[in-house]
Amino acid sequence: MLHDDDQDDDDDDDDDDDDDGGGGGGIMNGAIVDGRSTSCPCRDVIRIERTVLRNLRRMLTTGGTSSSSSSSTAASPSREGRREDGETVGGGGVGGARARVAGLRPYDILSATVVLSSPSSPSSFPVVKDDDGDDDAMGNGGGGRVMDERVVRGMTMIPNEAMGDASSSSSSYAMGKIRITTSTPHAARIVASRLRRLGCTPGYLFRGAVHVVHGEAKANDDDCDCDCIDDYGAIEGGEGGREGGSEGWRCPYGCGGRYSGRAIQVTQVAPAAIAAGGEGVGNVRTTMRDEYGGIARWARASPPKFRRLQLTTGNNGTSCVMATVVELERRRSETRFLYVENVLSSVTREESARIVIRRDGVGGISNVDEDDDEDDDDYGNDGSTASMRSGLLAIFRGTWSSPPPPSSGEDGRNDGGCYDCHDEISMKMIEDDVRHAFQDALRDAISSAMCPRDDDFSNSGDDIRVELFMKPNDAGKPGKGTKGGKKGPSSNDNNCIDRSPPGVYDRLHIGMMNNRDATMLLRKWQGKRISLSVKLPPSFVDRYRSGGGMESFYADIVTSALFIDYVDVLLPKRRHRGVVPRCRRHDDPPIAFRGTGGGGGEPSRPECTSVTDHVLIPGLILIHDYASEDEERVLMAALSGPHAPWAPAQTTPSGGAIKRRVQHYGYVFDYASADVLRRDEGGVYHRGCNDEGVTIDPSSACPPMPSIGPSRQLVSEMSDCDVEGYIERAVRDVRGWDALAGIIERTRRFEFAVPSSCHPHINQLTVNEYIPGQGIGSHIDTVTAFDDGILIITLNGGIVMEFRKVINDNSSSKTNYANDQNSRKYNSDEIPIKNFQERKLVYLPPRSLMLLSGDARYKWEHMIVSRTTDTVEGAVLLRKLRVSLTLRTALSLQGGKEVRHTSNVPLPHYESCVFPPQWGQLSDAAAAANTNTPENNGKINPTTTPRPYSPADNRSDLVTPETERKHVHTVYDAIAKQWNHTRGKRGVLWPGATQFLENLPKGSVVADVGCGDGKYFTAIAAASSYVIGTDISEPLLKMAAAVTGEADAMVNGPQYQRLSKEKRTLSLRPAVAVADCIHLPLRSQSFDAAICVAVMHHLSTVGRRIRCLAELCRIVKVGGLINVQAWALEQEDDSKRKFHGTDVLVPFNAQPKYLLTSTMESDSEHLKIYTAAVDTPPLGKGVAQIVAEQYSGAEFDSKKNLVIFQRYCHMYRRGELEQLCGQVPGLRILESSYEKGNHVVLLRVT
Amino acid sequence: MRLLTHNVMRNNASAASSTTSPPRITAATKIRVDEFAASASDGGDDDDDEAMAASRREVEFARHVLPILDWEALVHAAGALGLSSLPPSVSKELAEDVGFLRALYHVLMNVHLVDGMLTCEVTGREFPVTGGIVNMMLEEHECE
Repeated sequence: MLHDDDQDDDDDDDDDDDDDGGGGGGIMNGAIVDGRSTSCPCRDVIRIERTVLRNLRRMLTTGGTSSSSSSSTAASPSREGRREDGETVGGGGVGGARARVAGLRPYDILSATVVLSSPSSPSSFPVVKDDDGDDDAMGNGGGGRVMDERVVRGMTMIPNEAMGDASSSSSSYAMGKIRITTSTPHAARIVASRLRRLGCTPGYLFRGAVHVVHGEAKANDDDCDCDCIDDYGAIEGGEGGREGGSEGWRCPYGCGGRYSGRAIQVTQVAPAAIAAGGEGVGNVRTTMRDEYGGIARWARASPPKFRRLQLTTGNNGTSCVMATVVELERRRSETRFLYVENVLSSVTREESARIVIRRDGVGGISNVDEDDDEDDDDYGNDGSTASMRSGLLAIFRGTWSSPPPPSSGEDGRNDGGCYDCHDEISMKMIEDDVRHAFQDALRDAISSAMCPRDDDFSNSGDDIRVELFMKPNDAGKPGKGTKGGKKGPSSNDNNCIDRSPPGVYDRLHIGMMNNRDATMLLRKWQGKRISLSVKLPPSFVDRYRSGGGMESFYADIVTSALFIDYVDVLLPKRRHRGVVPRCRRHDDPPIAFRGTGGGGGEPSRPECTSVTDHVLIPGLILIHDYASEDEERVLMAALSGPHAPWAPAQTTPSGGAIKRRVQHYGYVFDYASADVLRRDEGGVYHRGCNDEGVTIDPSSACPPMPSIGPSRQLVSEMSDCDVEGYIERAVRDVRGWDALAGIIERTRRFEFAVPSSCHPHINQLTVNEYIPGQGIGSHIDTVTAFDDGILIITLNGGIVMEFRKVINDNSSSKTNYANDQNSRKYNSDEIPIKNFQERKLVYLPPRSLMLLSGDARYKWEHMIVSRTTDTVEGAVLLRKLRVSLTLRTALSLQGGKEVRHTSNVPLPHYESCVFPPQWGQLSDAAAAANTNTPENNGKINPTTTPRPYSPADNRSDLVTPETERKHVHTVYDAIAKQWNHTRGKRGVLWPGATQFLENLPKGSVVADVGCGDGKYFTAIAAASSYVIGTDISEPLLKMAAAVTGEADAMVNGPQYQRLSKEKRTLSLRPAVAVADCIHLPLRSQSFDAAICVAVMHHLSTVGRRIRCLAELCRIVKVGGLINVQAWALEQEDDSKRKFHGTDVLVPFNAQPKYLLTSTMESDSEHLKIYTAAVDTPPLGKGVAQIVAEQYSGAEFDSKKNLVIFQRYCHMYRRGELEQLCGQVPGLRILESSYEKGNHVVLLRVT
Repeated sequence: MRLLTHNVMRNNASAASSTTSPPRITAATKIRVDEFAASASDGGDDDDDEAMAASRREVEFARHVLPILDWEALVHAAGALGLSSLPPSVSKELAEDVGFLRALYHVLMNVHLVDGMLTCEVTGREFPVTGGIVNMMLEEHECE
């Protein structure tokens, strides 16, 4: 993003201005005085612009009552903006969007720019006179005071006709114009009317009437000479014409207007009239017009810290083109930015760059861009074409300091003394225009690349949103302090021509609204050459007047480095390497290492690592494609799916917690003691040499190793072919655990060639999950705990592993550290290394198997750097979720407690072929299977082993799991009353959903699947749609029906009268039905739209989630829209909800008084108990307890006398919802976003 | 439960997959019929305009909904509630007839089955309607 230096300065200046600010007078005082003190008027212009803007915002957005009051509030614009937002929200629900229309927010005034009028006659540069007390005089209505040639903006004063007034005194001066750009036409009107109402006192800049001229509608017939300058070559008419004269100003905030930048030009003409003593005779004229026609256009937004381009392709009117600052910030936080480096450099720096200007009149598509010679001819013939070309290059190069002179001096303005300054500024604007035009073209190219025009009329691009930020190369600039970059000369330079180059524009941020788009674009464009046809802005063409007719140029871009930078999206902050250890105590990289690194080779930025695949480390073997893709998929489903047995969080004695998720099988690895927990025959665990059995609470008894047979003996009898066959069947039937067991067995039998080895005794499996950005500190696996030979299988996402050779390694160090256990200095399984000598990087591709043995096992530390990208042989790879299987052989202790000495005797196998594995289930079955009982010898067909659950098994996947019954259905039934009662507290309707509903055509039939107590019914009805809600909880539906009742009551009540006519026609009363969301009792293709809010996160299996989406897809007509929302794992920082895993139980504190009534009605049996309880004083206390006892999932909080229910929730990771949707045929994702802790997906049924 | 609501219902059990029609209304112990065009009944200065607009919207809505209706089921359901005035089929001319559409709107939106029973034609499964809420929940074994 391009930081708008001006804005920064603006902020910095705030204090000063507040100090001197006697209200609006600050404009004059500050600006003029400063202007006087320096000789370069350009600086004044900039200062004035800023001051004007600030004052405008202050005055106009605080109600414009009086300048003194507004200045006294000194509220920062942002604060005001927020407050206004708050009011809007408070206004609530339906009317909220409209309510905003009345207000004007500070950021509705986007910018106030000085526009230089073309001087019709040369005059001396602005005579800036200081006049103290001037403000007062003018504020009082002029009092006959002649307003002198004080041009507020350091512009020339041009004798001009007074407009509005009959006085034809030719002594009047026209002056520069201040162009105020607002976000909406509506805002423009407000600005104008407020200015008028204030008598243009704000800042005493404006005097006289203000007229809004919108299109031709309110055109003042007193046409003035200072008509708007077309420096933007704005297309007059356009939307302005369409909207002209209509009172129906549309507010883009509410209804998604199509307006982006409208420019108001406020032209001040007044002085002569004032001289004549007339009050308000001067005319400040406001013109609004579109900056550019067409769908895509740029908006110049000064409040955000960048000049931004934004595109919403498609024209369905649903998207808000201009955005508030809050909105912008939100979008920025959600947008994945593709960072394109040196894009433009290839255009502008190399001579081979192709900027081809072609004559517009040539028509058709000429092939000039194909033929260099022809190009040469082309601009060889026309000098201005060549100069245009160099001008273009210069613009991007940032060296466009001296504009080529207009080739014809037709208006003779070259000789004006102020010419330089004039040009300085307009040049800057032209420069911007060209860049914007370039960005427009690039954006179009992106959207067409992403969304090739297909048959579908409506979705041709409206699901792609692109934002582009151009970033200047700041290398040449000392820093933020210089404002020369954008707005004119550097502050120390009085010569306004020789300003320092503003920097080369050679970088881009391309923001895509979701990861999918960004990834797709990355894939498509990486290293590609892209040809753009850029339409030249009229302002530029005007500059080269003689070359007229040139309207476009071609640019070729080679995207050299394209990578997705969403680090700051996923992680709270980009962490530097030094910070990492703090959040991952257990990894605890050696301190010495950090010191010695000195940045030597350690990448300071996560992007710039380099990696080679061919690294020789003795003992390291990498087997590519050890597992097939099918196997990988099946394994991932089991190991990373919703029911994976993640280990309970382990903490280290130092208080750290292990951030990444792990699973242990066979034996638990105890991070605190850096050792495996060994069990004795009685199942008691032992930690290290401590023979007193560690009190392991049963829940931490880890699941056994998955095995393909009931006993080791049977397994050992199986041939390799049997094993492979087993795996094949398991994969075919998508039985993840079986596949895992098979893979383990395959690994046991795998013979490595070079350090000829085999690892038949593997008895421990650790599954690590690394989400992008996670890593592990440098370590060597505990020597005493595991035997030689560590096997690591990488699934799903490749990663670069870093190896560092231990230097001061001696034979004793191992044992030293091993004996050091008691000191607990190192609370992890890593052994600190004082120094390292070599550093090698190995890329572990997905589905690979890596063996660490010998030196690689004992003398090299390995680690994974915490970052989100890896560079492998020059290509930047985005890390994906990586699940690694670490297979190790845990060793038994030998020699008792005194001598902590391990032999190479592996611990016995602890395994089971009964799936799924679960923690804390030292089941007899597993134990029995574990003991190699010979009587268990019956040949068992492994495939017929009963499977209680298999994630991909369709049928069993759809059965309502006990979890949901207990922790979802029952809970909502029980708490329905309180749920409904606290509906207000649960917050307003999500704006996304309400907006979705509002945008539906009136009279739509909408299904609200999982409607609960009908939270959205009113919104749907307000949008004049008919809703049919379903929910599985009947008590909740009764609450929804109560909504119905209220609506019924409203029919003839006073409230009903307040409803608009439209809303009355489709009455508020909704229809409800008890139903399961995965078996919707609704006919296919009978709904115009469906919403499914906060339902998906209560479904506990992938199959059920997909089924739910499929059902939604089924009931909605083709072309209909579906809005799905679910809780996000990534909660906002200030949210009170924090989720530490994807599948969690969220407590709900229920008060007994609600429970009494909500649960009792249906159940007379319990009613008796309750009545008994109620009769027994003290009331309530007993009740709560009884209720709590009744529900197995509930607990009784005796202190607060509450019943605490636990609701099961699955928190969706970013992209997970989209991935699910992708699996449902017929659903097309239009938009996915994140809103207040929820992931929102907008789908279309195709 | 409005007749419109009833009309988009369906027994989602696997055994009933052969039909796409809503279950028949086999018992109607309580019915509520709202005022015809209640929205237009209140006084007001622009009463007529309002009524006109309301009427127009009703017609629009009926026209919009007509294609998705299971007409036979609607006729049957209306019959079960004592409304026998619906034509057995809708011709093209009829579908454009404003009077018909208004009447259709009335039938769809203002006639409620409060208490009753729906019965699936295929499987005989019964779905009770109580207090205007129909319980379409299936047991696990009924699902496919």
